[in-house]
Parts: sequence; structure tokens; C-alpha cells
Amino acid sequence: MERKYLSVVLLICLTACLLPGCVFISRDFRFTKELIISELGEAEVETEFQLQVGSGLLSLGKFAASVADVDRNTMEYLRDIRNVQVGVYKLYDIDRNKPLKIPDRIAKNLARKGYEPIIKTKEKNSATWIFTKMRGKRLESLYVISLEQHELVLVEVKGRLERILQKAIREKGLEKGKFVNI
Amino acid sequence: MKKTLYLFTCVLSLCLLVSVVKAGDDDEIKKHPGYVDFSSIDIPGDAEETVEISIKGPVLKFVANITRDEDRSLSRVLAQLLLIRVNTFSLDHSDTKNLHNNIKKVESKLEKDKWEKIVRVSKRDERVNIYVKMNKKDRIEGLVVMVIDDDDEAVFINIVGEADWETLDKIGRKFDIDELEDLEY
Repeated sequence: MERKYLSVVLLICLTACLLPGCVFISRDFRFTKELIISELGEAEVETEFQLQVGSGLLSLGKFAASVADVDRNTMEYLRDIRNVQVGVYKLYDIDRNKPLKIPDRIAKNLARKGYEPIIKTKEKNSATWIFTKMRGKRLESLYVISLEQHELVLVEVKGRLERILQKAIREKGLEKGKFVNI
Repeated sequence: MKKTLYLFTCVLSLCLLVSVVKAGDDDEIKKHPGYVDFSSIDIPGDAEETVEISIKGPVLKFVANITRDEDRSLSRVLAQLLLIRVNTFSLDHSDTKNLHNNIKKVESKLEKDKWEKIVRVSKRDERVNIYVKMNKKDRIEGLVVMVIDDDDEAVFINIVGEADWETLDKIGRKFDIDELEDLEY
């Protein structure tokens, strides 16, 4: 009996993992990562964390959260997310004399997919770009690239993001400074 | 075969239409009297610190929508704007001469297009110019702020869309843009 239940659970997990957009990052996401890394010259890169959580795994997560009696806010946030891709990469032996730069080609590539840059910042040892994709009045996707001396972070979130931001604003308020933190 | 070809043509036409509409949206903003072309002002490639913010109509309307319950007046203000652009970059002395020349060109164009200069501060190492474009209803339809601190940084701001002084002050406070706070005409 126990073996039967274990088999069913394993089968469900495997199915969720094999559903499109689950676990492995997309080709575009990988392209962005490789383009940035290619600009870093002889730097060594170690993947600390890399994952795509698609609708299949998210559904599993929502089910698990509902069974585990997770906080209602978390459930609400999970409901509005359709897909998440995250990549965290450790960087070693970066040439400190060369300024850190996110290649312009990335903006062009993302523009072809409907993304528009809203913020681009560059400091001595870091660069951050944030892109949005709108569908009418809805925020459909958010893409964040953060490059520092020792780390590259890529995040792409898709879903009903306006609802998530609305909740965050309701919780954090709209005071100066806090708005930026949202 | 004919049906496939017909379907393909329809899909292609739709894609073309969407791309033309999208390109049209950007062209519309550039034709707006409150829009200013900063392309002649190059951000130095070796500038140590740069910030580029470009928030267009759809994102502004989205922010207006989600902030409606929390701050109705800010929401109303944002819904009427078409574009907020902020470019800042750090400077060193070698950049400033070229930059001053480029700014003079932009200022000539603004004056030719009947923008009103409302603030002018000229010190040894600092220069601040603020221009507004008024429409026939006496409402602001464009604002330009240009600040150069020779030893520090340059700031360029363009806000496109209908606004008043209180609106600009509110935007300055909410988005932490010092140059817009306490502006009075």
C-alpha cells in the first residue's frame, strides 16, 4: 500500500517536472545569462541556483500550500504568479579594471519579446536593469538583471503582477522611500 | 492549401498591424509638444554612475490604477502623464565642456519651440535650468530640468503630459526627484 502511494507521489512530481516550462530555464533566459558572462572576459562562473517554476510546479505548490495550511497572503501571491525563472550565478576572477556592463544587445533581444526597460542603473561595482511587459493596463511580466562583482542574478516573473503589487502597496503604504522599496 | 495561405496572411497582417501600432505609440510621444529629444546629450561611456529611468504611458496608467485606493490624487496625476524620463550620470572635468555645448543646443531648440525658462541658476561649478511648455489652457504639457554640477553629476528630466505645479511637486516627493520638489511658478 505504501509503495503504491509513493509511486503515485513520484509520478505526480515527475509529471509536474516534465510539464512545459518547469524546472529547466528557457533558451532566452540562458541566452541572456551567456551574453552577460561573455562580456566579463576570463571570469569564472558557478551556478549557485537556477530554476524555472512553471504552471505545473506552481499548481503543485499551491496544492501543497493549501494542504499545509500556509498563510493566506502567501496563497494569494501564489495564485497570481504563472511562471518564475531565477538564476543566481557566482562570479570569480572578474577583471576589476574593466567596468561592469550589461550588454545593450540584451535590451534589443528583450524588446523583441515585448519588454521595455523602465530602470537602468550603473554604479562602480554593479549594474541593474528592470524591464516590464504590459498587456493593456495589466503588468504581465517583470524581468530583473542584477550584476555585481561577485554575483549575477536574473529573475523573470510572469502572471497577474498588478495584483501582487497592489497587495504590496496596501501592506507597505506609499510613503517616500517605501514606494521605491516595493 | 488556399485556406492555409489565407490563415497565414491574416496572422501576418495582424502581426504587422500590432508592430505598426506599437511603433506608432512611440512616435506619438515624440510628436507631443512636451517631449524633448535628449539624444544629442551622450552619456559618457566611462561614467562611473548612471541612472536611466523611462516610464511610459501604459506603465504610468498601471501604477495609477494600483495606487488608486492608497493615494487618489497621485493616481489621478499619473494617469494623465505620458512619459517620465530621468537620466543622471556622474561627471568629471573632461566631460563638462562637451556637455555644456550639447546643452546649449538643446536650450536653443527649447527656446525656438517656445518653452518658458522658469528657473536659471548659474554658479561657478553648477548650472540649473528648468523649462516648461504651457498649452492654450495654461496647463503644463511638458517639463524639462537640466542640472550640471561640474564636480559631481548631470541630471536630465523630461515629464510629458498634462500637469500643474502641485502635481510636479507630488511626483518629485513620491519618486524622490529633488529637483521637482517645491517648484513654484
